[in-house]
Amino acid sequence: MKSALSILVTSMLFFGLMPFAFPGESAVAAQAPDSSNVRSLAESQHEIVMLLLKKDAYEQALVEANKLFEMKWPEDQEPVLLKEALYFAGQFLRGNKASMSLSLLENSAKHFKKPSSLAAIWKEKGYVYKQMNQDEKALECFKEAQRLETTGTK
Amino acid sequence: MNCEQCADDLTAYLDGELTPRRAAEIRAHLNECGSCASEMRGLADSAAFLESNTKEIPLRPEIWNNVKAQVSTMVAAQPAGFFSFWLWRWPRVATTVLATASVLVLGVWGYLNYEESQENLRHYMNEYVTARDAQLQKQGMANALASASSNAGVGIKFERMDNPFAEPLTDTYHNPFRSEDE
Repeated sequence: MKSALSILVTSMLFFGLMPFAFPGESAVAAQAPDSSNVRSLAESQHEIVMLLLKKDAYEQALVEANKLFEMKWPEDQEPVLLKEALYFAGQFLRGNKASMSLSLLENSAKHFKKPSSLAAIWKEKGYVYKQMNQDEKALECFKEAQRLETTGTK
Repeated sequence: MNCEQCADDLTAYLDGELTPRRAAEIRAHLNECGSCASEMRGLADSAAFLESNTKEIPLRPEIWNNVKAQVSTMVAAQPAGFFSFWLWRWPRVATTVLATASVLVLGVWGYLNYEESQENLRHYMNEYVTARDAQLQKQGMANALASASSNAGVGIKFERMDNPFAEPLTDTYHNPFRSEDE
């Protein structure tokens, strides 16, 4: 089991470093983001984060998860990215790492443009604050989410 | 007694308003002081002149009737008793009452509005929290099931419980970037 995991992690790191080994290709990718390439990298990145979470390496997992949002994402991938942000937020919360969950949500929010996505992030932040028994802050987050949903503006 | 003190009380002396003792003092001074005696004589002459030339002027009846008519109009216009107080001040009282009522109504309306919006917000929050709790619980169960099946080496197929539209997964957990996971 351990060897399988180490092979998986090594291969992921290898493929993850490929763009740096071949800068010409990565430059092309940066200019015109290809959804399938980014998704492929993100899939690996997701697995890395999940492995780190399983090993309770939350801080490292947070770093890796943040990298996922900093990839050159096409705009049409925002719903998938949002799903991922909420999923990881839930995972951190389950590991009693509410502050990390908030950090992840705040970092990921920088990469969302749609008011509906931002509203979802605010709601999740509110949920995390609610779990931390900080009801006032939770209400403030939900208020902002409600505003975004009703006005449709940032 | 000096001249200044005497001059102060000279008019009162002439009118007979001083105490006998004070009057005797004034009299003694007037006997000694020619200047004050002269002053006293001037005052006495003036008083005598006024008294001899004063006569009552009869009030013309039309003036008196006019005054009476005006007074009676004012008295008739002002209701007696408790109501007069309010009636004469009603514009100011009404303005004050209206202003107070407006402030009160606005305050109550603002408070109720705020309470309602807070209640809506709490409801909005509770709805999300309940749904999210259930979702995370299902997610946890799905993860546990995936982990158990993976550890047992059994390819148990199960539906992704957090997304009813997702394709069935074989042995792994949620990964939104996997093509069959969308």
